[in-house]
Amino acid sequence: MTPDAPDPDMTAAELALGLLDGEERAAALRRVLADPAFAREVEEWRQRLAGLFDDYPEVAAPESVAARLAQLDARPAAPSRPGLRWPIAGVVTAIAAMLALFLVVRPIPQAVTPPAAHRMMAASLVMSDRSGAMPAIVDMTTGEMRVGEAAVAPAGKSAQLWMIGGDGVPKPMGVLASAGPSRMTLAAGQRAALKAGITLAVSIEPLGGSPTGLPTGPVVASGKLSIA
Amino acid sequence: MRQTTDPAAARARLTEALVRTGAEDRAALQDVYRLTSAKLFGICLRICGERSAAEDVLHDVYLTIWKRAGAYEPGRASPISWLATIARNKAIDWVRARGARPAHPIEEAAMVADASPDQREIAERDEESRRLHDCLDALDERSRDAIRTAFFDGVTYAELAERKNMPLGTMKSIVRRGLLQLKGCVDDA
Repeated sequence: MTPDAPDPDMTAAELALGLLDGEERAAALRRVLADPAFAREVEEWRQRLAGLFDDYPEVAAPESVAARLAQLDARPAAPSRPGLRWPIAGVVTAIAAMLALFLVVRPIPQAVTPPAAHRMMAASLVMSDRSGAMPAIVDMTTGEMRVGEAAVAPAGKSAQLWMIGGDGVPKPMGVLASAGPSRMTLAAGQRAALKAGITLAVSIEPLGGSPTGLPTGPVVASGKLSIA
Repeated sequence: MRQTTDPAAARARLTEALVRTGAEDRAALQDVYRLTSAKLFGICLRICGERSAAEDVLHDVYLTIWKRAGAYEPGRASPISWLATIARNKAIDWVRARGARPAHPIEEAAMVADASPDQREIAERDEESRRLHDCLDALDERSRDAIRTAFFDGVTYAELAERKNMPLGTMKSIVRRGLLQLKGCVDDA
């Protein structure tokens, strides 16, 4: 090892391993959405390291978990049981949400912390037909929002993003790019309305977005926002 | 997956159960649970460090699997890696959301970062896993130990540096150089 040589850039591996936190992690997450080559690199690292899962020792799981699962509701969107002792939304699943292979749905956070205290919020917008999901991430400090690529709108239509808060009224957030990831900057008012547990949804609208200010077409994807 | 000594058959059976789970077959979720819960609980317990939390996380992991199994693509990743990744991420989420972890991992989750695998475990490794382990063995001890600890315990650079009593910059250097060497070794093999 040459002491003076700069460290190699191993950000993709560091993100896959979960070594990063704070601003470094936030920056790496933004890069996953903005840079498909980087996203692939992270995915390659996940696969490269997967052999290490062999080394976790098996431990017999408690019967109680099997019993709780046996009571599972048949609906795919079965909510978490209220007894589940989850703290507020964590961080690493948000990384997974950036990666097509490991898209996962977050539990609904039990406690809501003011969004100003957190830099990033994220949601995994699951397709209504369960064919996949698109990640969405908001930098609460700058209002910058990114939504992963999802070619959901047919030719001549637009996919529009909405937020649905406690009042149940969808509010328009922006029209998604017809190809590639979408970037938008949220106004301060929009940002203030974002908090853990609100729903983000994508509907199919006339080209350029709904003319009425409310969704007019089918909702093709939705998911809950959580603190990332 | 102790039900068989043939890893290929075990993988095929798990893939099939996972695909059926994706089609909202509740019995298939029970099959996935039976085939994988010991491994996934081992992961949750190791990272969470306490049994009651690991149980809650495990339950949440299988709820997530139920919701997301439809997105599993059999050709892209081994089923157990896909499931184990969900478990590891959920457990890390729990630990980081709580803001601290127990000072000492509980005894039940042995210190696998240092443990030598037994012959059965080695025999069940597939070719990619064997290559990864060979390449890890080729690293210098500090890099190998840091990378294995980061993976098994799901810790950040800051935690890693604290545990190993090293300056943060030194720890980053050791890990980054190790990862670079690991990549070269795994990809060239």
